[in-house]
Amino acid sequence: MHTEYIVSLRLVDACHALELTSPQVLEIVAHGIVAPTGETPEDWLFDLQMISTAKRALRLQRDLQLEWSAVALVLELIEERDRLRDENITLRRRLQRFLHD
Amino acid sequence: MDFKDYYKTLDVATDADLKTIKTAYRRLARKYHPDVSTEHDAEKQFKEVSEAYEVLSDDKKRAEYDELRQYGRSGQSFEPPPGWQRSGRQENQSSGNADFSDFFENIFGGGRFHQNAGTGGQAFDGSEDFGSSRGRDIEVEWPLLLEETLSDESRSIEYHLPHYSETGRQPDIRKSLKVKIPAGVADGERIRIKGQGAPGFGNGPAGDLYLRVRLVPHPLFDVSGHDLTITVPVTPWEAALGTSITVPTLTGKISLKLAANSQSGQRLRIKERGLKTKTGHGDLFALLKVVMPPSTDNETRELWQTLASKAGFNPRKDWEV
Repeated sequence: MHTEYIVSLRLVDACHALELTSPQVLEIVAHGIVAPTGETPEDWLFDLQMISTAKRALRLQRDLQLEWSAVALVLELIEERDRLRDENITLRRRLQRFLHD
Repeated sequence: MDFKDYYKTLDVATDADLKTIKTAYRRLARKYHPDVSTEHDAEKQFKEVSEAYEVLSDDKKRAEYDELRQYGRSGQSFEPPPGWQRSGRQENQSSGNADFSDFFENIFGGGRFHQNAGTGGQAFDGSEDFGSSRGRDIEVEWPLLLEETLSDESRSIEYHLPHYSETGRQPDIRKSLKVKIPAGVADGERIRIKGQGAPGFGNGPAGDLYLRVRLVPHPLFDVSGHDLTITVPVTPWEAALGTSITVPTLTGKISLKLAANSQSGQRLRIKERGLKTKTGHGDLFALLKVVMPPSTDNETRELWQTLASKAGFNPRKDWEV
């Protein structure tokens, strides 16, 4: 079957993917939750990680009834927690190989 | 279908006021939100909590639920009493991604379809009518073996799509797709495949499929970005004298030269034997681990004793100051 990969999206496509209007996406960008490349909204390009982060932000904002600034903080903390957890898993695995294999 | 005790789910009294219900929901939503929680069944728990809140926070739904509640018991099979008719499709507040239970769908009818239509209409340019909406995007975890990321072959994936019609939720659609693994794919990366998500409603287009790459832990190699690390056991004399050893890589064995006086924990870089990047390959690191033989015979012990008397090496010298 033919598959079509998409690597980056313009604002209008990002709005479709996020099911949001342009002003709503602009607000998410204004809070620094995602930082598309490009100078003006017409030139902005969103990669898939940004779309995923924005979706996560939307879920948090809606389900936990948070302000956007709180969403930005929560996302930063979650990202840091996930990074530390991954690092911990990797280091534990490496230590296990070093001590017991 | 099983009866749902929404009051029990939110852990509130049956006469709880809206403020109490909201507080209970917020507390449980923070605890179980799949984007925050590390509990293994967070998603399931969050759906239950969202569904309970959807009903109990809405006066009309709550009244209808309270009426039916006298006929049901939590977790037990439930049929509405004879003569009961649902009040028709209702406005569902939460636009969450939760797929609500059969119980919810049967009592409050066509909820998901309605939600999708609503959010779809808002998301696009407003030209879509109520009967057409874009299908949902679907995110599926895609476990890949390290070896597979080096391959140019396509790989089949199977996934399920939720399916809704005017009458409510239908059985899931099982889909199979052949996907070429993009070069340089990394753990946690997402791949978007257009139009392979849930089907749209009416004339609405299908949603997209997001594959979230998960690299399966390998018995020999640890991954860091596009670099790999292999722990290589060596004997004390190999470390002391240097040698050439055979080391496995993802694409076959190679010969690795070990310098004399190598240390345990030392990392040797083998260029471009790691995972594929967008433009080339990462590196493989051999982490040396000096291993003592499990037992020694008399002859070997004497050799160690000779070494001990002649080497004059004390790794704890700094402690003697």
